[in-house]
Order: sequence, then structure tokens, then C-alpha cells
Amino acid sequence: MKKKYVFLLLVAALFFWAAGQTRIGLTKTRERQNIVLSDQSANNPPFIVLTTVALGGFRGLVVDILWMRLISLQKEGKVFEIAQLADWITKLEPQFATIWAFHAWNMAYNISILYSNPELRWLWVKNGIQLLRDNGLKYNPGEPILYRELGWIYQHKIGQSWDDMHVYYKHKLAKEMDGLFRGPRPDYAKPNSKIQIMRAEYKLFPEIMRSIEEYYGQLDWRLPETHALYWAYRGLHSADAGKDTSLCDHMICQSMAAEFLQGRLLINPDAGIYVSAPQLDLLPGTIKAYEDAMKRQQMDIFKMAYVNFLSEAVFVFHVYGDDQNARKLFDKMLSEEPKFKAQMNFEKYLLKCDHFNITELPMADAVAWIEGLLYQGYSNPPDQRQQNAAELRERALNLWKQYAANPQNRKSSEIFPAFEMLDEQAKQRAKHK
Amino acid sequence: MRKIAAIAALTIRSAIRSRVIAVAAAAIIAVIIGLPFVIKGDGTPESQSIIFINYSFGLLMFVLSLTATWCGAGAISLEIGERQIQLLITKPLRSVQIWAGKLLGLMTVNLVLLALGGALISAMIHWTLGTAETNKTGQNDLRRKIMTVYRAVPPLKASGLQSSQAAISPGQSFSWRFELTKRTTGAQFALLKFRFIPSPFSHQTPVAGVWRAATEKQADLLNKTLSNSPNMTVYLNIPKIDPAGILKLEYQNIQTNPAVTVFFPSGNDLSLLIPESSFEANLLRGLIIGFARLAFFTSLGMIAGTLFTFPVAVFASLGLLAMAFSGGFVRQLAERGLSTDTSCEQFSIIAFMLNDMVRVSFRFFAFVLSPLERFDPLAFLPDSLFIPWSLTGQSFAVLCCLYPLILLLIGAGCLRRREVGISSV
Amino acid sequence: MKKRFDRCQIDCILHERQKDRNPVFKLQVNQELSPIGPVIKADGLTKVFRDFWRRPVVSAVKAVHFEVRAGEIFGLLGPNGSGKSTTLRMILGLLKPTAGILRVFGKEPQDVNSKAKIGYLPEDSCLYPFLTARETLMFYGSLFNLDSSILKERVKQLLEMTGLQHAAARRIGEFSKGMLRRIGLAQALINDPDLIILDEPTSGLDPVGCRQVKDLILILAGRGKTVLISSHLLADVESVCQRVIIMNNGNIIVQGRLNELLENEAIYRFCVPSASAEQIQVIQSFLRMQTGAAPQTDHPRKTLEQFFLETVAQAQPGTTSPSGVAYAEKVAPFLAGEN
Repeated sequence: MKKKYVFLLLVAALFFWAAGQTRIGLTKTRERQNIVLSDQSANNPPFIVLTTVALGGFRGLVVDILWMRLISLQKEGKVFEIAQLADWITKLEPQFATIWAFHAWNMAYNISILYSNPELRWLWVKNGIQLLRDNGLKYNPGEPILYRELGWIYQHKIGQSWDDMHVYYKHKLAKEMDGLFRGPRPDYAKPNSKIQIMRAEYKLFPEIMRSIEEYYGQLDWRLPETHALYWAYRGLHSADAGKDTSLCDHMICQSMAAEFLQGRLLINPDAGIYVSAPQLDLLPGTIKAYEDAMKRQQMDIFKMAYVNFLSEAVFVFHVYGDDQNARKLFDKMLSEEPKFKAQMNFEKYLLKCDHFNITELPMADAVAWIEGLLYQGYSNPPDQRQQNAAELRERALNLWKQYAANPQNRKSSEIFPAFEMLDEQAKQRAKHK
Repeated sequence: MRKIAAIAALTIRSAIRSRVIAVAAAAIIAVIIGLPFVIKGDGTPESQSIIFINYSFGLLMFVLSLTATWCGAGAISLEIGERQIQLLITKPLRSVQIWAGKLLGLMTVNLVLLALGGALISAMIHWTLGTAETNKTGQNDLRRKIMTVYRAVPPLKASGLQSSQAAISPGQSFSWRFELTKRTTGAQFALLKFRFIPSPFSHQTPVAGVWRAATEKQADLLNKTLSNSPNMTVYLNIPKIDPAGILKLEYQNIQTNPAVTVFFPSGNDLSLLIPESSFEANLLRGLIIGFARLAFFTSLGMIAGTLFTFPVAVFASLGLLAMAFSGGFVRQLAERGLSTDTSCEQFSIIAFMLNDMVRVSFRFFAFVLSPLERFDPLAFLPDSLFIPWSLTGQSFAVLCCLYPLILLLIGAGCLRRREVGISSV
Repeated sequence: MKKRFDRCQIDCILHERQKDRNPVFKLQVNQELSPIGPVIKADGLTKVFRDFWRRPVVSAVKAVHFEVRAGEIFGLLGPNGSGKSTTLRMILGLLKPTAGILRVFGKEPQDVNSKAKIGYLPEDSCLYPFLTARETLMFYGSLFNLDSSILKERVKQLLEMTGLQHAAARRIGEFSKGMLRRIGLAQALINDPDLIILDEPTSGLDPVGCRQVKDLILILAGRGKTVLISSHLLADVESVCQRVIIMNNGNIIVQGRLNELLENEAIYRFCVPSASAEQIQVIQSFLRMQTGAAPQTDHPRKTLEQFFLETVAQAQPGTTSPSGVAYAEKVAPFLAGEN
């Protein structure tokens, strides 16, 4: 009898040792992936507490099974269940930020492009947004990654031109916002009846929107870049202590740079018109964004991005006929990056700008150049113009024709605005100067 | 037979009076009726319906499998524990008769619950479609997609290859041939189901192509230029195909700028779908297969109950049930083992041995459980695919007759050899 | 009640048989009673319980030899742990002998055809609590391939016999202990078995019920049935059994006819139904003279059971018992061979 117990004890000891060895590796992996349940789990609603605590160790197994099913269905092109599976997976691992980020990205990017129907595509982009906005951030209010991912969907998926239906997305977003604000922004002094919808459905809080505009400048909330800015701003200010907020700062800088370059919107959804041009008034806000980021993050990448922005801003101000500001910006650029002093002076830089090949420029810069020339013709007093209005107009038209004739340098999904539209835009700008 | 019937009747009475049927029925009703309010699709009524069919049938089978296994485990083990078997054994009954009677009784209970679940699913689907927010055309379209089931007609095999595998370069064409018998013609329409992968793989925007279809008597059955997204299953309407014969289907890749090669990788990625039956009839066939699966699970539970006490029998049989539900996982274990990370030297020897042990052990389970993967109604019902009667019959023969018969012989033998007079066992 | 036998009368009957002491008669009796050989035969019967590793733990029955002949009432006695329950279970096929031979009706205990001729009343209620009394009897009866009309009639008769007709629709789980014994007895007799094995048949029964059971046993034996009784209530065993074995520690320590085991052949008892005091004195003197010993004279006592039954019988008849169990006055006709 005693021998039997001794034998069993030895076997048990061996198994305990083996389990302990496995645990070492698992613990290291958990720490690396940061998937330890945080204290916030106590504040989660009962369903989440039930699934995270009651399931215990089986939670991970269930998540794996659901995830494998999701991938398998997606490979077969059967995507009906994806939203449901993503919902369950994220709720089973509510504090695992990467999971939320992955599934939102998967729906907004991978699933949406499977459809050729724009309505269905937009549905899936919104599914991705809603997953993060309505649930991901609710359970991880201090996780900057999620804010940044949400902003990325706005900035990249909707705001840029990688998706061939990006114009449709832009129109849809603008229409939704227009339905809320009846214009480019809410009237903070007289909030309308849609304010509840703003808060409840879109999670747009007027007080935060106002403080953003007070700090960075007046923004058009029909633009996707503005929403990217909003979420990045919230991520920056909501992040838990010790969390890396550099991505949020990065997004703020990118969004402000995009707002500067394309923040002035001319839109007519019924006619399919969506034209954006530089919003020069946002320069101080953009500079503020970069300088704040450099101060906060102490990373070289922000300085490089700032210098790049300044070089682009110099070009924009120059084509809009404001060489005074252009010079200031150029000097600022040199102060940030002294090594350029030896390579370039202001006049040489302007000369270089004047001889850019427009067909090699991104569409935003090409539009800025053309509109800028037209604007000069309408706005500057004759004595301040470098050329007379007719010459400016003709030059603008030539540039427009060059760019329109060379579609290779712009994406097929990008709609190059008509010359008359840019002309009208320039006229309006000059009128409201 | 009379003795078997008597024991079956006893088992049914036990299930009714112990309220097992009532509780299981309540669970089924709650799950199926509550499901549409809980699940979320992609926002379209079609996805809501398909997900409902998938989950409701899956949950029904899950609940009933648990019930069947649990009841099977208790059918004999509880009688041994409470010593009722001691009286039964003294009657002129063979162990086979006791086992068969119990199994027959439990299967009757399963049948009733399955019928209830099936009726509820059918009713809820009609309700879901009826309350969908679409116009009349949308409703018709929805009913055509959900309430009609289709027989998948694969293309005829070309020599040497799976015939639907094709890599079509820009500007090139590829043809498939479908044999249409009298049974598969005459329907008002057919659907061409296809899905392709682009090359380069990174190309995710729509690819343009021309689809043409013709038979000997219908020269211009289909001639359509489409732009379809890669990796997405698309359904293309083909008008009435009649009479029977060979249908020639041609795809011409006109995506030249940018140039994209279109690849149809497997047999499931291109097929002709002919309306064959209604959703209700297909559901019935699915339920028959479900019934056969339940027969297997009940027998598993009964075997465990014959060998062990009730708690141990439940644990063992639920473990087997878990393996049965994770068929793909079991197959993977049988093929690759645990695939532990052998890069870490500390584990390499242990991992190596463990891996081999697992692989060998699970080969047996993978073999035994392979019919469950093959006879799975969920591979057909959500996609509105026709479940052939031949498949239904095969599943019945294997899962409802062969497997339970084998388990019955083993179980009866074990019961016969077991000394039920030892009350502590 | 009519078929009750006075203790005195039983003694006289047995004495009559004993008095004859004719081996031929005895042989004839034996042959008449068991023309086909013993109903149960155990030869070197052994049962050893083993643990999971097949090591012997308990030797419950140690190479016992005994026979139970057809038509006899056989008692299996012994203290707790003596091996009698184990022996019973082996006879019923619930346990397998470790060694030795055990035959029931000339076959292995597990033989299905043999089981058709056996009725078993277990010590504990092994009935299904969710069945009613009628359903229980119908169920067990249906296991014997009885014609349904015959089965229904038998169920009706058994319910009447056991006094459970008013409780026929009640579930077994709601029965009292006495009712459980009755229904258990009923199911044991549903097939009119040739061998009836009763484990504590009178346990939990009131004296009236006990008497009924004993009368029934005697009737069954009178019809040539074999009854095997295991009981701790020795008075009940004594009043019905013809042969007994007493087990202890797995061995049979005594076996034989009850009269032979209990009788004191050195003393004779005479029963004189009615005599005056003078006549008794004369008889006493005569015996004193003949034997030289002073005879003891007393009045025979009724047993307490007899007294109780008489008293209860005189109580108001026709009253329904609060438990719903009414005592029947006759044995089921099919058991009495009256069908």
C-alpha cells in the first residue's frame, strides 16, 4: 500500500513539474502580448464579466474556435457571419486591444472590398467603425491604439484614395454629417435637436469638438480627416498613464497637414462633386500640432514630418501668391533642419517649385497649384501679382490640361475636378478673403 | 420485440416524468425563438436569415446532442446505481434487449424534440422573411434565395485535372461543360455560383470578364459582361435551361489594364445551381441526418453509462461529444499532432514524444468521427444546397444503424459481463 | 383467514409424517416433490471479491454445497456478513461465482429460459419510482411474453390480493415501506414462477400482512412451487420453512430439515383438546408410573400472531385503511391454480 502511494506521489510530482515548465513560457508570452486582465474588468457590464470570468481558461479556447471559424468563412467568401463572430470574439477578450483593432480593420478593409455594391461596401466600413467606436472604446477607454485605429479608418479608408469607392464613402460621410449639423460644423452656441444623435450614435461630443476647434482652428466636420483628428485627440487625452501616445500624435499631425492641404470643401453629392483645396487659415493650428508632438514625444520622426510639412507649406503659400509667409515658413524649416541651409536658399527653392512637373505631383498638390494661380488672379492687387490675371489663368489652364492628360500619376479612383470648378473655388476664396 | 418495446416505453415514461423532455423542449423553444433578437448579420435580411438557419440548427443539434449524451449516460448507469437493474436482470431479458430497448426509447425522445425544433425553425424563418424590410421584389428575391434549395451540378471532369480548376490570363477564355439530365432541367432559372482568386493576389478591385453560356438548342443562353470582386462568392442568373444535354459555359478574362489573371482553384468555386426543392423538405432531410447523429451520441452515452458510474459516464461521454464537435481539430491532431514549438530545446524531447503519442491516438478518433464531418447538415442548409436523399440514407445507415449496432453489441457484452450485484460499483 | 393453520395443527401434521418414518414413503414424497432433480444446486460454490488490481479482498462464500429441491420451502439464514446475500445474488445471476458449480433448473443462473421461471423479491425496493403500481406490474409482466388479456387479469388479481387496488394509480415513489413490499411481492409473482426467491419478505409488513405472505408461501409450495426465503425474522422462517441452511463467515455451518434441527426427540408432547382436572391427573399418574418421570403439564399458548389476528378480525370489518391498502381475504386465483 505504501509503495503505491509513493509511486502515485512521484507521478503527481512529475506532472506538476511539467505543468510548471509550460507555465513559464506562457507567462512570458502573456506579458509580451499584454493580455493580462486589467482592473477595468470590474467595471464591465455583467455579460462581459460573465464571459471573461466564468469561462475562465476556456475563454481563450472559445475565442480560438470562433476566430478559426471566422478565417475559414472569410476564405470561402461567406461573410454573413463575420460581424457576429467579430462581436463575440471581441467581447470574450474585451481588454485585448489588438483583437478589437484587427477585427475592425478586417471588416472595414478586407470584407468591404469583396462587394462591388457601394452600399454594401459602405455598410462594412461602418461595421468596422461601429465595432471600435461603440464597443472597443467602451471597454478600453484608455487604450490609445484603438482611437488611432478608428481614426485610421477615417483618414485612410475614407480620406485617401486607395479604395476605388472612396468618393462614395466621402459623400456618404458628408451627407451624414450634413444631416446633423446642416453645414460644415455644429453651432456650439445653439445646439440643435440632433445633438443626442451626435452623442449617442456617433459619439461626437460637442464640448470636445469645440475645444479641438478652439485649439487648432475652424474645421469642416464633413471631412474624414476631421474625424481622424477628433479620435486621435481623444486618444491622446484619454490614454492611461504609461501608454504610448505617439501614434495619436502622429495622426493629429497628419490630419492637420491634410486639413491644411485639403480642408476647404466644395461638395455637391447629387452632381457627384467633391473638391477639396487648401485651407490656409489652419497653418497655425498645424504648426501647433507638430510642435506639441515634438515636445511630447521627443522622437526624430516628428521633426522629419514637420520639416516635410513646412516644405510643402512653403510651396502652397508660394502658389497662392503669399511669398511673405512662404519665406517665414522656409526660415522655420531651416531652423529645424540647418543642414538644408547649405543646399538651398529661399529663391532657389521657389524657382524649383515653379518648375515642378505637375504630372508627378499628388493630386492635392496639383489642385492647390492650379487653384492658387487662379486665386492670385482674383485676389492680389495688381501691383503684387507676379503676372497679370490672364497670364495666371492661362498658366493654370495649361497645368490643368497637363495633369488631366496624364492619368497615370493619379489613381483611377481619384476624380480630378473640372477647371471651371477650381476657378469658381478660387473666386469664392478671393471673395471671402 | 415486445420486451424491447416494453423497455422503450419505460424509458420514454422516465424521460417524461423526470421532466427531461420538458426542460429540453423549453431550452429549444427559448433558444430558437430568442435567436433572431440576439444575432447580428451584416445588416441585410439575407444575412440575418442565413445566420439564423446556421445558428438555430447548430444550437438545436448542440442542445439535443448534450441531452442525448446525458440521457444515454444515465439510462443504464443510474439504474445500476439505484439497483433497479438488479430486478431487471432477474427477468428473462438478454442484455442486448435491455440495451436496445433503452436506445429505442431515447431515440423516440430525440425524435420528438427534433421535430419540435424543426417546426420552430421553419416557423421562425417564415417570420424573419415576412418581417424583413424590403419591397415586394426584394421579398421575392429573398424567398428565392432562402426558401429554395439548389442542387449543385459540378462541371464535367476534364482529363487529368479537376475540371473547374482554371487559370485564365487576360484576354484568354476557358470553357466548362455541365451535364444536365432531365431531372436538372426544366426549372425556371438556374444560378451560376462562382468565386475566383486574382493574380497578383494584392489586386482586390473588381475584375472584368464576360460570361457566355449555351446549349445545343439554346445558343445564346447567357452573354454578360461583369466586374466582380475577387474572393467573393457571386451568383449569376441563367434563364431556363431545357432540354437536357450539355451546357457549355465560357469565361473570357477581359481585365487587361491592369492585367489580372483569374484563378478558379477548386471544385467548390464554380458550380451550377438548379432549383431542386423547398427549404422545408431540405430541412426535413437535415433533421433526419441530425436524428442519425443523435443516435450515435446516445449510444456513446450509453456505452459510457454501462462502464462507469453516472458522473464519470457523463464526463467521459461529454468528452467524446466535444471531440465529435471539433472534428476538424481532431483530424488536425491526427495529421500533425500538437505541433509544439520544438525550437525551444528545453521541450524538444518531451514535445517530440508527446506529439507522436497524440498523433497516433487521435488517428483512431479521426477515423471513427469522420462520418460526422461528412454527414453534416450545416454544410448544406445555410447555403441553400440540396441534401440528396442518398446522403441522408447513407448517414442513417452509418450513424443510426451501423455505429449504434456496434456500440450495442459492445455495450450489451459489457453489461452481460458486469456484476451488477455489487452495489457499490 | 380461512386458510390459516393453527400451530398445533401444523405440529400434528408434521408429527404424522415424521411418525411414519417410512423411507419408501419418504422417497416417494421426495420423488413426488422433485421428479426432475434439484431446482438449485450449488457444488463448491465460491465467491471472492477482488479489488481493481485483481487482488482478493473478501472471501464472501467459501466452497458451499447445498441443494434446493422442487416444491420445498427453503430458508437461507445467517448473521450479517455471512454470505447469504451474496449466495442469493449468485443464484439470481447478479454475481458470477469465482469457483464451483451453480445450477438453477439445471442451467447456468444467467440462462434466460431459467429466469422465466423465477420470481424475485429483493430486500430493497428496486422498483421504478415514477411508475404507478399498475404500470409496474404491467411492465414486469410484459417481460414474460404473457398474453395481454392474461396479464391484465393477473395484474388485477395481484393488486386485489396485495390490497393495493385503491393505490393502483399512485406512483411507487409515494408508497410506504409496507406497500413497497407488497408491490414487490406482486411483481415477483406476476409470471406464476416455479422458483420464488424472497429476500426479507415480511420486513415492514404488519402481522396481518405477514400472515398473508406466509399463507401464500404455503399455498405456493402446496402447488409444487419452490420457495427460497432469506430473512432475519426467524419466527417467520420457522413457521413456513421445511429446510434451512445457516451460514456464517461464508460457510454453511448447519443445513437440514427444520424439524430435525429443532426437535428435541427426547421429549414427547401430547395435546389433549378437552379434559377435566381429574382426567388430567389420571393421565399424569399413568405417565409417572410408566416413565418414572414427572410429566410437565401446561396449557399451550397461542402465538402472539394468532392472538393479534383474531383481535383484528373482530374489529369493524369493511373499513378502508387510511393508507389505501385494504387487506384481501384470498390469494390471487392464478396463484392458487384456480384459472
